[in-house]
Amino acid sequence: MRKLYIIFFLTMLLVSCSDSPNGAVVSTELPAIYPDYKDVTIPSGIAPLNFNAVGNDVDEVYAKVKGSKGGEITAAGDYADFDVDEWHALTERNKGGRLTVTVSVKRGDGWTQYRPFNIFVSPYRLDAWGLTYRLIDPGYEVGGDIGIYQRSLADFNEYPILTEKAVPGRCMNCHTPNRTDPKEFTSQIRGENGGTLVYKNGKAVWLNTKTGPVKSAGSYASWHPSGRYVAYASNAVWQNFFTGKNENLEVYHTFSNIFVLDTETNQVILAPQLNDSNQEIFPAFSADGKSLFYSSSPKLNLPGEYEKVKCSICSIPFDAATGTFGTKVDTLLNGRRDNRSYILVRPSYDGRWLMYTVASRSNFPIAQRDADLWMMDLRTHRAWPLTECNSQQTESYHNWSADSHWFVFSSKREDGVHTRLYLSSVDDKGRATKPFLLPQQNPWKYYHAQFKAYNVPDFALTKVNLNMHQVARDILEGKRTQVTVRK
Amino acid sequence: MKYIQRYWKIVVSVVFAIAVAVFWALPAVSLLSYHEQYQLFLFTADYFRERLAVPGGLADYIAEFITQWNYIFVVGALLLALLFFVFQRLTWRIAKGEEAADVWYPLSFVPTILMLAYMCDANVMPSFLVALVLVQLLMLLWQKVACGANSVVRVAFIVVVLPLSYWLLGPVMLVLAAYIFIYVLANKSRRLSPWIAIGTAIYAVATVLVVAQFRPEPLYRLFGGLNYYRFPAYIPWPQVAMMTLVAVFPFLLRLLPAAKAKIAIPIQIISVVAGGCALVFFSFRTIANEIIDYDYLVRMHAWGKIIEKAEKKQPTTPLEVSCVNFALSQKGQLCDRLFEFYQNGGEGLFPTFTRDMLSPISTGEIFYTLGMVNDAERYFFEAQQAIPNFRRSGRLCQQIISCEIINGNYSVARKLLHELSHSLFYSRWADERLAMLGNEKKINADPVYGRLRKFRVSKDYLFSDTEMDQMLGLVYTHCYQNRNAYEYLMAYELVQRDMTKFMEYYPIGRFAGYTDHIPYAIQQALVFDWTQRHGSFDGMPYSIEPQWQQLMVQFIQAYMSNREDPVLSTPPLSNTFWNYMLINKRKAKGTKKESKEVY
Repeated sequence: MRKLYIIFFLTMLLVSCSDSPNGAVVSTELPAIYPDYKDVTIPSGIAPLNFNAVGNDVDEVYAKVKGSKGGEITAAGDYADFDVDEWHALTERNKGGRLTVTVSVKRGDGWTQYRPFNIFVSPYRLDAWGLTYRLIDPGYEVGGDIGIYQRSLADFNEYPILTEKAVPGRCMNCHTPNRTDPKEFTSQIRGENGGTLVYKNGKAVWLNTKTGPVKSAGSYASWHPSGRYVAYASNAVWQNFFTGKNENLEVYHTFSNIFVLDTETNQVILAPQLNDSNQEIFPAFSADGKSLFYSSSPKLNLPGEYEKVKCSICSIPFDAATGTFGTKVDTLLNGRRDNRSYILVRPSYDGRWLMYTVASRSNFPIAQRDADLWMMDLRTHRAWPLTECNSQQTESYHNWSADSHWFVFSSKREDGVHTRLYLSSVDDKGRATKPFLLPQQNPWKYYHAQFKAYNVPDFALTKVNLNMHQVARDILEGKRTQVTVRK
Repeated sequence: MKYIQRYWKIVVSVVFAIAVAVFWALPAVSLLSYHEQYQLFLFTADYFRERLAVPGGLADYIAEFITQWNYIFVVGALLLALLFFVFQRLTWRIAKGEEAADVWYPLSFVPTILMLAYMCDANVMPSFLVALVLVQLLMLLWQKVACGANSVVRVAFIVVVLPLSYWLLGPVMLVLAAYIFIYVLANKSRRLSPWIAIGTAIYAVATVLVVAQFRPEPLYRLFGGLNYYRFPAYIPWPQVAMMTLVAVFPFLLRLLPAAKAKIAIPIQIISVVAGGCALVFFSFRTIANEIIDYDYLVRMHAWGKIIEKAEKKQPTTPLEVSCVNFALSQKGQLCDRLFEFYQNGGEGLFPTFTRDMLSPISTGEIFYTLGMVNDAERYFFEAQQAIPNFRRSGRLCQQIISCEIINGNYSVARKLLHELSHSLFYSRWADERLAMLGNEKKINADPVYGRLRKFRVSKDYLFSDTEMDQMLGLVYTHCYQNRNAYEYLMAYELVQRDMTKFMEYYPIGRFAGYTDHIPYAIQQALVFDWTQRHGSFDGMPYSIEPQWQQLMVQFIQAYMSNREDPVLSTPPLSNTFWNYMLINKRKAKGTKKESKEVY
């Protein structure tokens, strides 16, 4: 062990004064690294963008990072593993500037120094403690070891919020905070003693939202900015499987409607436009809370007519003072006319942008390979694809940071099966930057041994403090407050 | 005589261990396979760390290390027998420490036999046995400490060993605590303070309660064991009974009075052997184990043995029936011998998907062989997902990887192969597949992958288990070399008693390449259909062998005169489509319903 330390020390001594180890052959090529962090834009204070050199023949990696506004750090070893504090200091110093990364790789006896690449440090801070997400095997029907987790963005620490270990046999989904603030959040538990958890001001309320016209418990949710109302989709999700070569499965809903819960009275508010035979799904309150966006597709005979599911993006006025919906529904994007499906609308919290997914069909975008992210300027209603963020595989399930300059989304670009989280920023003109994969201590090792998919990501302004044991007890106890329908 | 007196105990123990090894290696070999296929032991530091991160993790790690050897069943059986041997010997050593008389040695087999019977439940994890053995070692150590050391060492032992053993072995620590408790109270002559007993009890419970503050699992699981039973939410009462027995057994033996060896020993041996055999026999002969046996035979591709097994005892559950039909298809006998075996409709060919870890495996194998690779992958994946303790499965990983390779999803396959390459028995297979990835020529030349790539239909369509015939029709018409798909299609219509569709699909069999004879069940159905519309066999356009015409006549005569005629329920007439179509209709419906609950 001591020998190793001496070798490491000597290596560091040799390389500390230059861009690469002595005698390195200079290559004009860019280094092959995992993850691809070349030319990505990051927020200051993010966890170090550690990376691995790709290839089985790599013996050692040496990386030197220089800031355009000063500062320099290095990492050497099996992979580029930067010191967290040094990295934070460097990114803070170079906010609005760039980091130039020079990578040298040792194979056998010789070092190769590659062409440097840049990492841009955004002038916009990322106003979040971390991320919340669900980890789930990318399966079909059987849930397996599901868990909702939170992850600090400043380092690599992950903490469980609620896992299958605490509540065996239950499915938990859609942890939804109010504008990323976990002081108010809602979540669903399915299975025996299932229910809807509404957490506000340190108090957890368990509700049974199934009542009368609300045929199933709430699923995809969105908080009204006031914190009083939560809009939920109420639906029955089904899957069918393809026999063939190309696609795996089709996810569809046999019905889907939207209701709003008044968390002060535990009453549900229904609007006929959101509870008809069409399928209304993925509700999202606008930044000012005066309207509710959602996707809508006409009634079809499913699964037979699965190819005809084309969602439009609509909005309906909502008056928070009276808790009532308006009558006029606006169609922002018409799926049937455009022969596309516009799904999972997410207005930015500053009211400027509308991000959504576009796929050739379906109202469950994560299962559609051609699902891409698009953006609309809510001032002009001009829309465009986020080409910087899209790939040949699925991009979906996106959420904004509280300051609306960053967004997180999931993508299956690595292998077409396992969704991973990417972060990107948006400038004042709505231009997105090249996204970066959620950093990990040893990214190759982590992501190649991680067989679970990241699901339903969102930002967390602060760490979620939820007593898992209490939640488990509440679930087992099964006491639920029955909601009523507001007349 | 001297030697006998000196070594009889160890000889009896060795004989017992051999019997246990034979039990695991022969009748219970399928249970070894079952355990092995629901874990994937990896030689990585992360795997070790992951195990040790939970209470009972060391016992799990050791047990999983041992269980991986079940891949070579004989070695697995020997290792398990060794564990039972050690368990029994330690039971005796502890009892001996409590001054049990040698004459009661045969009784020391009782906990071991009970454990063996308990382990006939395939979901009892070897972890539990490993944990019990290790805790017995600690019980022995306590005997030494209690006798030889001073009170500081005794207290130190309790303070250190109880929490440590809880973390490494799990709640069998409570066995140690209970043993110490009784030991202190039962050995007053050793002048141990009763406060040690009280303190031990409180400390043991407190240890679990403290751990509970840092663990997500509910308290009852932390007291009952996280991985002693495969279904984590369930703590079986025999487990609690076993734990209690291990703690109190040494003191029970001590209570027995002295007895004459010449009488007591043979009586004990006879009683223990007879009682033990009966107990293990009845614990082992369960429907669940029968199903596991079928799954094992499918895993081994032991088609002949499956058919033999079914010939001895007709299967009844959908899974068993589907395994028999699968074996028949692999032997090329599906449509020849279909009705020699019990049939329960389409369920017996493609059991309805259930969210468990066993039944989707053999169904997945059926889809895989038919070239319905996506469906097979789904079933394999779901089976792995359904493993209640969330372990991964070497067998299922292999199958999933094969599906990914056939479908050309190399990045996912590579990822899974890298994982498998850290295992002992799957690494070679994984390395071979890794070398194959991306090499289309090599994959297409592979006898299995190449064939299945040809069988896959090129257009995507939605799977529907209520329209299996349409799917089989598509699969077969996509590639006429896939005769198996045609036989499944024909068998499906026959067991569904759908003559209209049978007659509709029958003609496409002309591409299947039958040169010897039309499969017998198909001949029977053709004759049946003909006789429904004609008064004689004259002009029948099919190549029906005379024997079927004669039997049909015989069947009609018997059926028309007396439907209860015994000749109808004895071969050869009982083994015909006509019998299934006309006589067994009601019976089949009843049995299908009954057989639903097994898995």
